[in-house]
Amino acid sequence: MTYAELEIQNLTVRFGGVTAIDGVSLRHDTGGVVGLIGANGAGKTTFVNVLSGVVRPTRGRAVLDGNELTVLPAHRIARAGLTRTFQNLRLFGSLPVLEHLLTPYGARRRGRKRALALLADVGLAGAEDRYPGELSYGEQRRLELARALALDPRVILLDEPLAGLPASEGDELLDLFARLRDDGTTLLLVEHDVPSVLRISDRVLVLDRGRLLADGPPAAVAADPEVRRAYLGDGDA
Amino acid sequence: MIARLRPYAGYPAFAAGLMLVPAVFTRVPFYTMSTAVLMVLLAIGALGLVPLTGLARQVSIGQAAFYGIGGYTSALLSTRLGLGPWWGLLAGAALAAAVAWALGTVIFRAQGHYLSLATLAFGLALAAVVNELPATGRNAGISGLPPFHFFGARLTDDLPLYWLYAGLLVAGTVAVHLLVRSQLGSALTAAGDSPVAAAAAGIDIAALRRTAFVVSAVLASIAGSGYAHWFRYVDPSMLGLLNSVQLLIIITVGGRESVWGAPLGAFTVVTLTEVVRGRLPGSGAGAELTAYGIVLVLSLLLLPRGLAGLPAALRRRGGGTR
Repeated sequence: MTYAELEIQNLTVRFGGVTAIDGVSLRHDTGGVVGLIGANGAGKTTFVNVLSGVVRPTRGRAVLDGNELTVLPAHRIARAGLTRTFQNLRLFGSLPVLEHLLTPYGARRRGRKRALALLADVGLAGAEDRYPGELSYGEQRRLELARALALDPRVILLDEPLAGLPASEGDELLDLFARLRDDGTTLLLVEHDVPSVLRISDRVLVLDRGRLLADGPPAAVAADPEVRRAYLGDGDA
Repeated sequence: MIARLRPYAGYPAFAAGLMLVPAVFTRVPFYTMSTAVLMVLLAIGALGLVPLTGLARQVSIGQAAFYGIGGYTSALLSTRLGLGPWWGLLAGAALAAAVAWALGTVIFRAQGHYLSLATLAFGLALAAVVNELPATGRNAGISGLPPFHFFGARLTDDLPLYWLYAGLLVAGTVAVHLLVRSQLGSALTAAGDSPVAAAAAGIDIAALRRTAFVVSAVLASIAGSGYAHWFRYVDPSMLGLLNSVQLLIIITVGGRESVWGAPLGAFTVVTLTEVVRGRLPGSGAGAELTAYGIVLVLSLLLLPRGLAGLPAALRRRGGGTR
């Protein structure tokens, strides 16, 4: 059996009596931005958590390039090429900025020069000796993204990366996502800001109470009557 | 250049402090050379908690078990097999490392505060075993240990023993300092700050924590061997819970994120214990507990990063950056 780059089969996560993810299956061949939208409690963060190894699935599996992610510990998933950012920022408060980019697996081998280049890419040039606590919220978000990139991942799961950012900074970040996509990285973008998701994504997934309600190109998903009724709100999408 | 040397700026003061101890401790109240030897041994034991508790934020309440492993290995090898103290010290450290490795492999598979519970249980269980086994002399312990020899001299007095153990403390401090400032130290810090983010960065948290636990066990064991050849006697009280708690208090008061926290904490806690012992009626153990309580509360209220964090706190208050 051959696998797509990312193949998810019948993925189900239950917490007690609550089914957070309910039999989601999909395959994604390579590259591009995949938007993941859904109302609060639809299971978006659980989806990110289960793919990144924070939560184990009750049933089903996810496979990246032949590696079965859902049986691996979180650090092995990251080494297999899938990493993430967090909805609530999780930086290493005791480490200076540059160390955030040298500490990920394999990053020190790739060298300090590359880490500095990554910092410049996310607009943090010159901040290498500062500490996360001295950065603005937007800078912290970008540092988290740079830390994920330092791993040289094939797939990055971005859990609400635009949350709390002013529109101008959000647009800069979206430009950066577009550049990463052009470099061949697959981005799974979990976001509340639906217009931004529809604008940047090549493919949009809609989760509704743990089930995959829609899956397709942004225009088709935005026009899907079921999606409009369940999530976008009829008439004003 | 100056900023690069700053991490090592403590060494001249540390060396000067250690060299002044004999001159000062024989002339002021409370202190004797025995107090100095005790402080140095406790500092060696507490040093291992810098990577484990300070960086990786894992709390062991069973360090006395490793202290005991060092002490009893030294006692058994020297009295039963006639091996020299250095062999006991090395064998104890190796055994402590192996035990910590095995325990750590099991404990760190789970996330959470399992290390505290597991080390507490391990410490109590080992103390009970040592208390019952004929080979370890049951509650009477083992006596008649030989002293350390150094270049032909028998180190039976506190002063030469102090110099030997101070040398071990300096070596341990340099080793732990290099570890803290290495890639491993950064990874341990990352794992302590945010385990879930560290794992997402491909860092094997369980293996890192186990490594830090092994380092802490080795240093505690060396301190235990040092204690055994100083007192020339070991008994099950070495493995007491209070000894584990004492090391935790030392590193909390001294500063758990810095190698200087161990000697500063040992000095402060032992000093306070001695001061309180002379002032309070009742048993010695009661005095120790009172002293521990006082310094712990004061330290947590006034200096959450411990005494070693004082210069940085003053710099920040003075408007400088960290």
